[in-house]
Amino acid sequence: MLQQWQQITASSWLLGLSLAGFTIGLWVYRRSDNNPFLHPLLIGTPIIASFLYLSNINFELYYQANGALSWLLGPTTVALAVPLSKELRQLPALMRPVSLCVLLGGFVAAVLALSLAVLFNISDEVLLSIAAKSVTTPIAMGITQQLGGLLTLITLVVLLTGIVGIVVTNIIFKRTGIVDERWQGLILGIASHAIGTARAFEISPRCGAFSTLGMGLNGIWTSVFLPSLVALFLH
Amino acid sequence: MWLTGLAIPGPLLGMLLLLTALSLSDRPVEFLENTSSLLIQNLSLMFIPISVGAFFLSREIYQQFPSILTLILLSTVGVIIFMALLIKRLVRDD
Repeated sequence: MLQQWQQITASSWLLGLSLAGFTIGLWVYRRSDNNPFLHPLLIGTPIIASFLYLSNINFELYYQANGALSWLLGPTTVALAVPLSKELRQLPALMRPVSLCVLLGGFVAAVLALSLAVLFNISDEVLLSIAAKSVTTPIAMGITQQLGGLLTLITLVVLLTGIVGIVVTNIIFKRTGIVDERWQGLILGIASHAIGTARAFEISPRCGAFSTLGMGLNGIWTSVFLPSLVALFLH
Repeated sequence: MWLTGLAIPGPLLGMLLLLTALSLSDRPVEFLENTSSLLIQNLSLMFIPISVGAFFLSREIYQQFPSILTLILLSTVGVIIFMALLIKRLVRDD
């Protein structure tokens, strides 16, 4: 713990780099009227990565220095209970659509990803590392470890899934006529986990609460069925 | 964390516990609301470090990258369309 703290403080300016990158990203995003193609993650990360490349800083060092930021994901996950508890009262009436959407959505997401992996002739190792792609990072890492996949790859795949989700949902919601913020949130949470949830909270607290619900339920549900489903798709 | 043999991560379990506590009491907890909304508003920031890692992966993974990317794109778009149509159908029925 002490050693960890020393590492964090010794290179704490790298934490400032994350904040700077994020601030630039956020500024661009706000100016563009929250265009998902200009999401702070899409603008901020290349800026930070190119800075690291140019100044020859190793990613490990950067990642350790930013331990505090990644650590905050834990308490924030717990904090999601607060907006969620406000929406919980109306949940019994919506039980059927919510549960069907989670059960079928989570399953279809995994089946689609695994079938395409077989179709594209992707190696077993990579297949195991992408199976949990629609699940939030902490749960996806647990599942991937259990399956025997690569942890570095699953975090990237989860991230890209989240970004693809927030970029395409707007268009899909418009085309299919999903205007109710509760359903928009639920779908964002199931398909795009925490990144979708972050986006959903920008739409409204209610949208965010339903996204949290979708993300949490899908995480638990996927960890139940995925190990047996994956076995069917291995070479 | 390893209850019932399923890997339910600590934070998720914590969220479920807090949710149970909040739904049992009717009083609004103001200090919790302020802290939680501050954290939630900055959720994207917390994904910055791990996302930067995407630019620092091994060569073998980058070689398979075009198919991985296509896979992510198709399956994510597919499942969102599926759920949107599902919700449309379910809600109209009610």
